[in-house]
Amino acid sequence: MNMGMTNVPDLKSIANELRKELVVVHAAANAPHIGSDLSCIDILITLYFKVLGKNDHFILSKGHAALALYAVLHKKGIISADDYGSIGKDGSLLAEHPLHGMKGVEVATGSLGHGLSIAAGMALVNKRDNKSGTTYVLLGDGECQEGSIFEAMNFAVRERLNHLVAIVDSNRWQGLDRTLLNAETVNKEFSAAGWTVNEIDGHNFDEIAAALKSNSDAPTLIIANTILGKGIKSMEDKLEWHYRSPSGNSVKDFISEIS
Amino acid sequence: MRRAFVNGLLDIMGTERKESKELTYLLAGDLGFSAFENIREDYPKRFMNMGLSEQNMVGVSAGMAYAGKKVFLYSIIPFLLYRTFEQVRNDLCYPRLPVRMVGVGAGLAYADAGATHQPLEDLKVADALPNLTILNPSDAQEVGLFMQKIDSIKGPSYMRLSKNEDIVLHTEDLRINIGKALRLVTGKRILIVSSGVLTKVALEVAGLLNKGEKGAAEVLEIHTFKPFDYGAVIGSARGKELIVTIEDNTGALAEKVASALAGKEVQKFLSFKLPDEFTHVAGTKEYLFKSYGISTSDIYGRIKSVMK
Repeated sequence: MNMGMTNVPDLKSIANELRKELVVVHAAANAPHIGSDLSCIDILITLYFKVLGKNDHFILSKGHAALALYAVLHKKGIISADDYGSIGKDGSLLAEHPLHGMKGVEVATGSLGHGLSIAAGMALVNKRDNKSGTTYVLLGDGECQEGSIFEAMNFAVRERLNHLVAIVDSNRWQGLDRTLLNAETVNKEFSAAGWTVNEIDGHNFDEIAAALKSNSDAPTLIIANTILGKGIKSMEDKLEWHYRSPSGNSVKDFISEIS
Repeated sequence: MRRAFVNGLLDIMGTERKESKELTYLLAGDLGFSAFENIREDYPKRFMNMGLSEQNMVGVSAGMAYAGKKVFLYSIIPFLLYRTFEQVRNDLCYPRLPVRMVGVGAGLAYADAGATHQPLEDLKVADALPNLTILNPSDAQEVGLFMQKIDSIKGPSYMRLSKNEDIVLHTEDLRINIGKALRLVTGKRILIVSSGVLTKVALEVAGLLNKGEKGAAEVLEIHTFKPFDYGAVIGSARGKELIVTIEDNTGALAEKVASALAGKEVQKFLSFKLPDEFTHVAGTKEYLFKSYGISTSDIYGRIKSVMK
């Protein structure tokens, strides 16, 4: 089998560890968006532990999954234990959406629909200046409803930004309801515009890694089918975990579900 | 004014070419017909028509700036600043990226185009954004000087231009410092503070006043609206009997000057500004300004009646 298979247990154990951490951190900080963190954490782990090189860029366009990013950056040693421990406390540099200037955060995000254009600008310069490196950007599927995503989608095709890779964390939920756009429609829109579109299981490390590393002569969209709250059965696909945070005795119970 | 902007860009790009650098780009929101032909011909890779996608244009410029480029953005002001407000705020101002927004159609320059094209409140809107430098030149020469000094602005900037007419107010030996007001005329009794293209009117009014009474009126031009040179306003206002503001916005300048002088001894204050409303009819900008009482003769008459 390929190299990926041998690495799968490593990523899986990191994922279990970070999922448990996220339950604790969310509870301590009373922070929202644990469902979204858990739907994209496997993608972030794969990016940071198997894919990103020194010439690559990454933008977390769905900035509300910041705590998942912090967990990964802390595990990588990019964020200090002190900073990581400050989440939810007064004076913390780790807000619920990434702040500008934080170590490991290339672009401050939080308002949806911004990241794809910024990533396209970075990818454009790399292409024009013949520099190596891929620009990755993680979007939410609810975020894909923003009109600015449509604008960036068309621009990336015109400029043939083949080293631009956008991943959609497609957990099918927005804040209050199911998303208006489903994965099928996102796929159709981007395919019709000229993107190379791959649809994968967003919790399968092999599939994620293979998709992130694939080459194309067009910009690439990876629709990662994910589950809100993935890894904790009693949270999975339940809208309330977009905003709720674990507390009290539930923390222990949630952690015991992670394996 | 637009020609001065284009010439300034050609100079910057020419210098970079001599140094084998490729740093400066011009991104346009599908506007600039018969304005950018020279740039497109001489520097085809440095000009991009971003199409009718202004939000994307601002976001892309941020990405390019992160990657080390110096990007100019060009469009009609409402599309450049209002459609994109959050991109400008979060993607340019917050990380303080050196993206230079250049908007055309300041105030009533697009009088005949209707209310959608007229930014009557853009100075107020832009002034609300931290880290943004706001340049409001009064003539083509100032535009050229701003272009020469644009690199000294470390964060994002917004320069508002009138249209393609080449206003000439200043002499060739003009020197300007970004953030420092210009005292164009000195006088003892009346201070006229102006910003932007209506500085021409301010100078005409001062000319009439000073013809009647030598050394009566002083003119202070605010070419950099942000950071605002409060000190110059306070200094020039000292001892004056009347303070006058003239602007093509709905009170942005008047409010700045009033706040600068709050708590100071001021005898009288007259502000010539646009009303807080949308224009109702089309016409020339002279017609519309006149309908709002903003013309050399109207302003001169009002000042004379107050000073009698």
